[in-house]
Amino acid sequence: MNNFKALLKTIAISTPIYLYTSSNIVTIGRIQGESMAPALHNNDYIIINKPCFFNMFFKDLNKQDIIFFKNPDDNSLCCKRIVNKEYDVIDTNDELHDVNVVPKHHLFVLGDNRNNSIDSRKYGYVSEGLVVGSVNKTIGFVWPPSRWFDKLE
Amino acid sequence: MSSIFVKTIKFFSGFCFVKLVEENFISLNPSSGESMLPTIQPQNDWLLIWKFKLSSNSRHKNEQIQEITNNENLSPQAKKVMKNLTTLGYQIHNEGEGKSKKTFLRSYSVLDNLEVGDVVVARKPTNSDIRVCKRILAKEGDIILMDPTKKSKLSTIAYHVNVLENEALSADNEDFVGKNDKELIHEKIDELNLNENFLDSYENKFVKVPKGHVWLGGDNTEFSVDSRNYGFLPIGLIEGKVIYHINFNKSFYKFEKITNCYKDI
Repeated sequence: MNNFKALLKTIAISTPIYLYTSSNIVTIGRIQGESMAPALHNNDYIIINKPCFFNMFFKDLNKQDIIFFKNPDDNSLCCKRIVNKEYDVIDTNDELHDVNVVPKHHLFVLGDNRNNSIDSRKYGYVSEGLVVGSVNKTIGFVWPPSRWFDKLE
Repeated sequence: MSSIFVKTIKFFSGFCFVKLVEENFISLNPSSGESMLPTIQPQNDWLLIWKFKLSSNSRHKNEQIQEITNNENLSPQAKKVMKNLTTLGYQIHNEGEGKSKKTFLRSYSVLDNLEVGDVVVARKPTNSDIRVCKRILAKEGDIILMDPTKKSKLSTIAYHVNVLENEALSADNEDFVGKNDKELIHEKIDELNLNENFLDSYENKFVKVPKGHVWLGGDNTEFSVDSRNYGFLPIGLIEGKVIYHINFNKSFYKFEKITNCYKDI
């Protein structure tokens, strides 16, 4: 009986810590789909830095970072690479936007697999407030084991 | 030694619990700024915010699918098609009750607990560190005039056409005899397009809110920075809905409910 009580106690103490760290510091995320094909494949598990914790050390998102963000089109999670930051000028052959300078505090994101990805070419610029996390490149993959020694760039 | 360790861990878990409740369920924040002036005071007014981060879009979809599979007498093939479409982002929408009940599919993505007229706390799209408190004026698919305090193209044309019609009626002018209202309006548009003095009023136009976005506006239209400046706001930036507020300027204060003044009672 005492053991059971102690187990309940540990669960009650540890669940808030787990939920808080997973929502604010670091989590493990799963990739769905092949839109980032050479770098990340379907059902890869990777480590995600959350922006609240990440901003304490690294301040800003850089170009060529892989980010997770809420899709402005239908509020679902997406994983794409930052190609242009604020005030950059974009060369787009498509008739996407009339003025192709990225507005303040916005990002232009694209998937690596350009032929098979729905990205900023469809739904426009992504606000920085929609960013949920960025992929940790130093640690790399968690699962599957065959990809442990692959490098993320 | 071990007791200190256990105590710190307990303290940390309590801190995490409070933070989780504040981030995901409910929080009390002070107001600042006079953009919502008739309803919310610029100072000493505290807002009780209900946050719905946990209620994701997919959960709503699943509930709606269950309703349909339970209540409707659909064929199994139709059910399969419905399920496939809902995974693509369409939502099932019911109209009518009883025998006249019909099911539709709509491609809307705004949550059902957000309505036009709700006061909402969101992050600014142009600066994600700043949070704003505004009222939702239009959901996706709605058509809205950008700035109601200024003149628009349609209002100027309507005014001119009205003046011309009155002139024609009073003077029995022969020019307007065989003409429809449509022809008059098109003539007036062509005239206005040549006139450069009206270009400023052309910028104020009717816009359609795209999918996954809302249009925000402050109650105090002259002193608010809202969607007229930064455009449509994606629903991912919305943090929660304001339900109650306390005004500490009053001598006798209590929680007051914020009413949705855009709704029929």
